[in-house]
Amino acid sequence: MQVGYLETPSLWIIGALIAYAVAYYFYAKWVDEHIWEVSESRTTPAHMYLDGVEYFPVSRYVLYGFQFKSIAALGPILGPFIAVAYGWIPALLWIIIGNFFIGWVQDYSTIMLTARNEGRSMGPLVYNAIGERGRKILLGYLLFYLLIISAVFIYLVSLFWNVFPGSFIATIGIIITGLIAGELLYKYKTNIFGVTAFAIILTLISVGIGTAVAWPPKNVFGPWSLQVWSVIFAIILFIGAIAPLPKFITPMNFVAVFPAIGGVILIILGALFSPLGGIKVLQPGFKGWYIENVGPLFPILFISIACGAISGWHSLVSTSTTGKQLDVETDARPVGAGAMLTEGLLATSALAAYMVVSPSLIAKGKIAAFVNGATLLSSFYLGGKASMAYLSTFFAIFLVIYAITVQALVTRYWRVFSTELFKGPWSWLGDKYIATFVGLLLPIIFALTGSWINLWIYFGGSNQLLAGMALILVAFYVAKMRKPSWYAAWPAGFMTIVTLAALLWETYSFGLSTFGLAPIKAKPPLTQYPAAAWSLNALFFIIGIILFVLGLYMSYALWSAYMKARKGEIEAKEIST
Amino acid sequence: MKWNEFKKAVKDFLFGLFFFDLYWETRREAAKMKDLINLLILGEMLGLPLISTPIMLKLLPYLLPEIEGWKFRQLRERDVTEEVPETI
Repeated sequence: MQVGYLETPSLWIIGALIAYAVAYYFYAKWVDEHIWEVSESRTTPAHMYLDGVEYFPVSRYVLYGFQFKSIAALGPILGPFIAVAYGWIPALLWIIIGNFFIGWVQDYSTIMLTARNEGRSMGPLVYNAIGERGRKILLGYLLFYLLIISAVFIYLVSLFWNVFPGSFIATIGIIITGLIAGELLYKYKTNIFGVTAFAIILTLISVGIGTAVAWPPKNVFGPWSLQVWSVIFAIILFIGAIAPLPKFITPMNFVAVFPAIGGVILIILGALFSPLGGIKVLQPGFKGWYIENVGPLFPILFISIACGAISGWHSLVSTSTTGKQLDVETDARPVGAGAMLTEGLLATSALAAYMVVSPSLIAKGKIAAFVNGATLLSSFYLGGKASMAYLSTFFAIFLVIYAITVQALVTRYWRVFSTELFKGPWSWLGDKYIATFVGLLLPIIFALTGSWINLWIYFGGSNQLLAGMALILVAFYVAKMRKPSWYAAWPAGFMTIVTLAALLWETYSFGLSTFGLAPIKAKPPLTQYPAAAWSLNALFFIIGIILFVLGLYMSYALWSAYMKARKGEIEAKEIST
Repeated sequence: MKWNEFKKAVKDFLFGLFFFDLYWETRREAAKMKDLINLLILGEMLGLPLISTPIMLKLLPYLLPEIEGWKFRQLRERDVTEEVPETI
């Protein structure tokens, strides 16, 4: 059955594509040529410090693929789920406008910052701008941010395992595939293409077994099923975090990238060709300025779609890895801006998956909406109804795989981070086993509330605030170069205001629950234990205050430094032009 | 863009998308192991009584090409934000 283009998500995806092309070929090009004045003859850190390990030049196409794979994870896929609660039009507008004016600006500019500052990462860049105190506060901020991320992903994986029968078995199949692939690659030195083919086949078989077995059923562990699943997940993560990288995380992530990218391609194709499948938009365009259990459109919309429009984490990736492998400065635009705008396309396609499902699914806050939508978008060109059961398990696995690979890395990073942060009498907290245990226990406690929307809002708020900070940092360095800094300063101002407002809103709503002015935010079975539910609300209230205060301090310090740089009170000594 | 250039671009893109992470991680792991070997063999130069000097002298010619990179990695000031996971 064919339907008109206007009734399907296709036209909006094409519209977004045109907007991204304009951003890339005109706006980004203008910034590239007139503000950064990139030059192929200027030496990049990859050549300056060539060591073949951290610093080495890489082709722009390789780097573009790597950057896209790195940034296109669960953020752009799950974020639109909350945003679509306001209707798909606000969500779509924010994805397009966010990408056009803010998203690529941050990713591209932070790559350039590293390239022009001898390969320095975020910490040293902040140190140069506002000193050691600023760097320490950034680390403190990141500490809480990592806990929130972990809580979100541990909760999500537990939820997916609980809701989608068979997804746990398929996940275990993929983990085992990863372990075998690791042994084949590192121990038996097997050919990489052979291992890849083997891994893809075993992954598909794992999904097939999961679909056929469809076990265990929902709530297999009774009312505490989610919590039991989260403990099972934590055990897997613990092993992953303490095992040597080549034994667990590296091969598992290698295997996982194939279904993950495969899923991304299926969604984009489905969204683009939806008229051929007769798939109509079912969600209303606009639902209201305030949505119960989510909050007001301003500021929640702008932080719910995090990575799909702009993400602070990208600034950390761009400064710590990509910027060090830039072959020539002219590659920064295709790599930084190009990958971010492609991620915008992914976010728009993920939004399309929510646009085509029944409004009641979104209203009930069912995250299964994505699986339903993605299955609908891709089944019409992959075998119709016959393929729906397999595709449904595949997309559930797709979400789990993304969450697991992210969380395995975050848990491991938490361990490294704890060792760096906890010194002196607190050094025991940096111990390999204790740090990993604490880094899993606290998020599990956070996830007990059962309210992932609240967790996601904290995650999005802190992530987007990090983006605001990165953009002020860019504006600071650009001002020091005596170049127009408005292109980064305006987005930085917007993101700072929006994210601080969102954190304040969420803290306020937890405050209301804590002080008995609103119902406690908790879901069964925690609601049977009012004291525990109240304690968690109070804990989130305190975490909200901490995130807000740290974010406010960082923003103030960075803005002050930027204003000084604009007035010419800071020497342009670090920037090589 | 010519056909051959296009083919190379697609190949590079796919390598970046699927294999670069594994390639780079393996390189980093290999560098860690090499640095450990360097420390064991050349540690005496740094005042660590680890291995006898004659063995060090015998192995020195093989390690010479590694010394510059090793020195750079050891002396470079590292920041914990460099270790962030590449994906969220």
